Amino acid sequence: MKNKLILTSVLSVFALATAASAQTGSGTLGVTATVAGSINLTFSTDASGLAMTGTTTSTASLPMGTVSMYSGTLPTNVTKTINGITSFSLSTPFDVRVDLANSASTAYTLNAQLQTSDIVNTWNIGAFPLVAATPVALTAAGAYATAVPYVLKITVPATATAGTITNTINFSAVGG
Amino acid sequence: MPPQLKVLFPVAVLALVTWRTALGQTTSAPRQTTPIVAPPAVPAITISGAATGASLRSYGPSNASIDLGPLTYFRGTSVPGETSQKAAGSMVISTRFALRVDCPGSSSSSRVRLTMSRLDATSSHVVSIDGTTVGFAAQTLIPSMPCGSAGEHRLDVKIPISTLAGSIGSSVAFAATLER
Repeated sequence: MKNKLILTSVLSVFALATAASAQTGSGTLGVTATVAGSINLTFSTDASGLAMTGTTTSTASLPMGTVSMYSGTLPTNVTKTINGITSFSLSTPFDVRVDLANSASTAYTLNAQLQTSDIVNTWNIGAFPLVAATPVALTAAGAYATAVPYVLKITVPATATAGTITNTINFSAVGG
Repeated sequence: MPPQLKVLFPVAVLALVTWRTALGQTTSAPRQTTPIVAPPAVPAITISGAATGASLRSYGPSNASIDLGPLTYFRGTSVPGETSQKAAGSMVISTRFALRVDCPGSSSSSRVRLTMSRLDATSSHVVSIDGTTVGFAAQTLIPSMPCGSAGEHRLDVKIPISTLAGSIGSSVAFAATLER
């Protein structure tokens, strides 16, 4: 018993000595960042629509090719409607998807606006005529992370001079 | 031996050793010095910016902070020395920093074990260093590194898109333990 106690004592001394010699230095690295909410709008080809260039990006185009009121062929998924003898319309669906990050927004408002005024042709998305002066709200209750189809319709008067029709539609999604 | 003595005996032995040492320190007796090896000083960690990393603010030899700046999921970061990647449902901001460990009073062949742990409990983001997620328990970053050496490390901060906009922050503690 006595030997056991002595051994215990010696081990205690060694344990204290060992603990005292464990040398540890420390350092601290702080990491900070400011996360901002962000919203992203992308276009994509609709299943029933004209093939877009720039699909899944925020800069896309719909090339409708060369069309005429009474003759010619149309690109796939472009519909032509002849309005008597006054005009004809070309229409095709396309998809708009809006994604959200780091925000508590539950819906968005989608606005569209012609970049350049067109006094000859009429531009519509769905039932909404587009103008250059002011943006038009296509929806005020857009659902995030869902591709929503919209139909672009361009109406060309029969009196319009043959030539290239081009314009840009600016879309903006505003989180609500 | 009574039970009280069983407890007191180791303490008594310890006290005796101390007392005998003290007795040897009298000024009147001829001093017989024994060479005493000073214990090595605590290893010193220095955190600094990496050449290709974001700028780092130092708050003393062992404390520093990195401000990853403004971040957005869709546009990433524009801070020099940082990269951003979009993963499924989250973004990962990456940069680099450097760690140096010096061991004053130790031999040139001394080595340390470097561990890391996270000091905050924020669940809004995940911090990883060299690909290892930093947790609250100490984890080994470098099992054995030479004293006086430095190395660069990659810092990744993963932020889910569900994290609401605002400031985020974390603290990572490093510990360098001298190997025996």
